[in-house]
Amino acid sequence: MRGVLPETVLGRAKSEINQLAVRVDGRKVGLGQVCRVRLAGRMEDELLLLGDTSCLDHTGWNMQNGRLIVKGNSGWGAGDGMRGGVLEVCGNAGDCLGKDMQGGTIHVTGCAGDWCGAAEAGEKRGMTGGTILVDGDAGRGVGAGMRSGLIWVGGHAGDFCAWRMLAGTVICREGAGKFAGTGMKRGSMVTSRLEDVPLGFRAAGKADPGWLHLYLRALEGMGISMPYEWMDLSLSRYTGDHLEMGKGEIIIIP
Amino acid sequence: MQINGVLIEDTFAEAFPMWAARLIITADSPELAQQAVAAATGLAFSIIGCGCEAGSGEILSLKETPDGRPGQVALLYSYSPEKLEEHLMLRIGQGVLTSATSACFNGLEGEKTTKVGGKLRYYADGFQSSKRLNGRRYWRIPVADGEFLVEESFGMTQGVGGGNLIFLGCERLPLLEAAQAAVRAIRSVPGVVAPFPGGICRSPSKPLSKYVNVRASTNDAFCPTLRSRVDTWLPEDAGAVYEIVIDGLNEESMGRAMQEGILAACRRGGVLGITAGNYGGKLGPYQLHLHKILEGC
Repeated sequence: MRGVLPETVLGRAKSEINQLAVRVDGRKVGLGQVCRVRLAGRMEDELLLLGDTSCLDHTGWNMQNGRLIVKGNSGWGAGDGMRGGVLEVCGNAGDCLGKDMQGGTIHVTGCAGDWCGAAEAGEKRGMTGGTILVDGDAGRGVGAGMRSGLIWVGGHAGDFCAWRMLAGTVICREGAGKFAGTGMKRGSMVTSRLEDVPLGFRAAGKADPGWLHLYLRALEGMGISMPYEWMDLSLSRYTGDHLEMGKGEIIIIP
Repeated sequence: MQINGVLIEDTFAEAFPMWAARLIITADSPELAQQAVAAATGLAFSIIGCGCEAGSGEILSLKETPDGRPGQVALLYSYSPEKLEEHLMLRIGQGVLTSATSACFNGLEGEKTTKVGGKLRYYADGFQSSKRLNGRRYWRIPVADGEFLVEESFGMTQGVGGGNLIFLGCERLPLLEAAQAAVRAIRSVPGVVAPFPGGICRSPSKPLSKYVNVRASTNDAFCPTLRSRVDTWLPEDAGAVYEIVIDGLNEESMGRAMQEGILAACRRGGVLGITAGNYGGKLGPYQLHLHKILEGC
């Protein structure tokens, strides 16, 4: 669905937007055949896609500004290469959400698939900036290879969360699966539960990280209800992966 | 002009451009935050001797600080961006970093920026790490009670310095109380500092001296004990003089602070007259006329 963005449809007639070509199963169809389209906002710079768009890939591809709202599920690679603006998915998002993202914000009210904000297969580097907010669960490889930015998972993240992470921050409210943080060079992963601390990590005692106050505050400003009780708890900190650079950290909320 | 029987002289305070920075300092408790602000703004009374004028600003609620902890604003003023940067390095590095549980954030989007945090990070000796959030970078410097978090860049803007009010009174104590009331009113204006101890200067100065290499000396015209020896500016019944020096982020805030200060002092009593210091327009481009700023009051 490359090219269907608030900035590109600005000033176009609704009928014209409905006829924008998108690919479904390799076939070209009009956008209006997949979902209903509406323009909103004071300057009509908000593009609303009403309906299930999970058959469309790359929703919000290379988006730079404006607001794209999907009232339904979105497909593979939503927010790919995003540099600014806001992509809201009021539903579930497919795999590779925010792949190659450089800026802006993605907010998914449902769950996200695998490799959210992660490096593409064969690539070393995942998202390099911006914020991904997932209210529900996320699949495997959240933030794998990510270089910068913030990923918030309100539910549970699958295995390989923050795997081979270069830098950035991943916060998983309800815990993460196996091999979390393995191969991490720098960056932070915060989680309430962890199945096991990876081998290359060392216990670094209790922590009260000031930066986490800052992040929780910023997330609250983005409409996320914050677990401020975390700040009153004694947080356990592990540094690693010492088999790599060893400048990363995993913070576990008891 | 008279307010409550206090003569307001028809003169102006002459102010000049200064570069300003606004810090937001937070800590685990309001007391610790205030302690850090006091450390960062200490010994910054006069630009002549200290190279920087500074003071504490508004106390911030938990909702107003970037990290949701108690905080307070510190305002620093100096005559050039370079000098201000030097003082920011010194004062954040020595005053804030050393204060227990503190963190320091930029509170101003200015015309210029300085990477103070970006330089202070080297104190971490290679153990520093950074976080980037909403386009701003923060440095984490490991210290003995956890981490000192400092923003990488601080904004600097052109403010206004050297605004002043001079209070004349018969008796020292009532005049001092009136000046203290004025300082409280001045400090309630956001973006404004009264940098002298307690906001009050008892030693107004004049430029130069009869001695070589002395850049400023006592303003003999305002010294009651010298009234028989010099061309005094004091009325016959004046026994004491206090000056309040004001720096502001802009001319409007400084004017408002002067207005609040004059009105508070006039309400308090014990003041014979209020005047202001100027050098006939040779010192700086800003002229804050007392009668003009009191118009409509």
